[in-house]
Amino acid sequence: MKLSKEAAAICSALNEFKLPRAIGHLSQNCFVAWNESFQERTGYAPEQLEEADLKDVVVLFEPDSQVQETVHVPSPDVEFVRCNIRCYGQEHFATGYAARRNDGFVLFMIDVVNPTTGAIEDARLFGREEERNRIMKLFHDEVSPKLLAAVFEVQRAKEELDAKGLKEGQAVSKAGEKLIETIDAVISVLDPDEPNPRSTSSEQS
Amino acid sequence: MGSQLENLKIVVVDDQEEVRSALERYLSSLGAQVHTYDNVGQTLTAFRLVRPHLVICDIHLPRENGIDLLHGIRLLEQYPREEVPVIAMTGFVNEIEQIKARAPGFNGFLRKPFTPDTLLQIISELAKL
Repeated sequence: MKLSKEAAAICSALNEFKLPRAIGHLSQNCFVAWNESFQERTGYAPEQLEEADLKDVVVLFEPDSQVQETVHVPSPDVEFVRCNIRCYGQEHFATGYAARRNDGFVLFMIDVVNPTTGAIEDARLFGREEERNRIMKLFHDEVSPKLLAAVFEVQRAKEELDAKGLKEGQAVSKAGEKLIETIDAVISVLDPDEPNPRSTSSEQS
Repeated sequence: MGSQLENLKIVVVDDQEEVRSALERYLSSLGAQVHTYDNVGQTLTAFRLVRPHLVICDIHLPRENGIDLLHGIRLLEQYPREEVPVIAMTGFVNEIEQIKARAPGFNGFLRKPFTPDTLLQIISELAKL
């Protein structure tokens, strides 16, 4: 089965959302459209979502008063409920909300709510990741060139002092080492997953 | 100050002036002849005249990037010597594997910000000093 032109257009529109989003139809028991984030979060390939029985993948909860009180529902035709989506090949579920319409269409919004705490933990994590990437980019664009220039100037000053036989070269050298340690510390704080930032590699052919 | 890199012609390509001038001053102080450019077009135009022994280029440049520069250099067929080593600079270690996959022709990688020792080490390896 291939996605219709309309469904593909909806998928494309859903990609505007960074968090996992999908649309399904309850009586037709199928997914209609989804975004890339939904695929990544649930682990399903597009072909699998096209063929999936909605009932096998999605668990919709009964409406509860807590959800109804905290969510503004724009129309009486729409009902908000909690939902679980079974992730491909895994035991765990992705959790979130579903906005269910009278005509059978449902918008799945996963990773919006933590069922235990009721907090938007995953969304916050996502926001943190975006913020970290923004800071990393700022660091590399604005701070890194200045640090690099400072390290090279310090090294040059040290070599000039050494060449003149002046003992101040040692103090400058220590300052340079501290600067390099600072750079490494900043990088490891910004991106703890990165390997040793002082590493280089040459590709000898 | 030193003659460690004497007679070595090095081209440095980076759109950030601070990086260009820091590398130029340092490498010149070690005896290298350093030519700096801030974009791919200028570098390729000057390449045959300068005939460098080594190129150090940033990956992220405006318009054409460091990979375009590498391809341009490799296409300069009349260049008489053997392949000129090209070192890519990037701020992101995780990007290095992607660059290796997309452009396997780079001879080395430097993760910015790097130290003078790191730079000298990779230059020594590639320029066979």
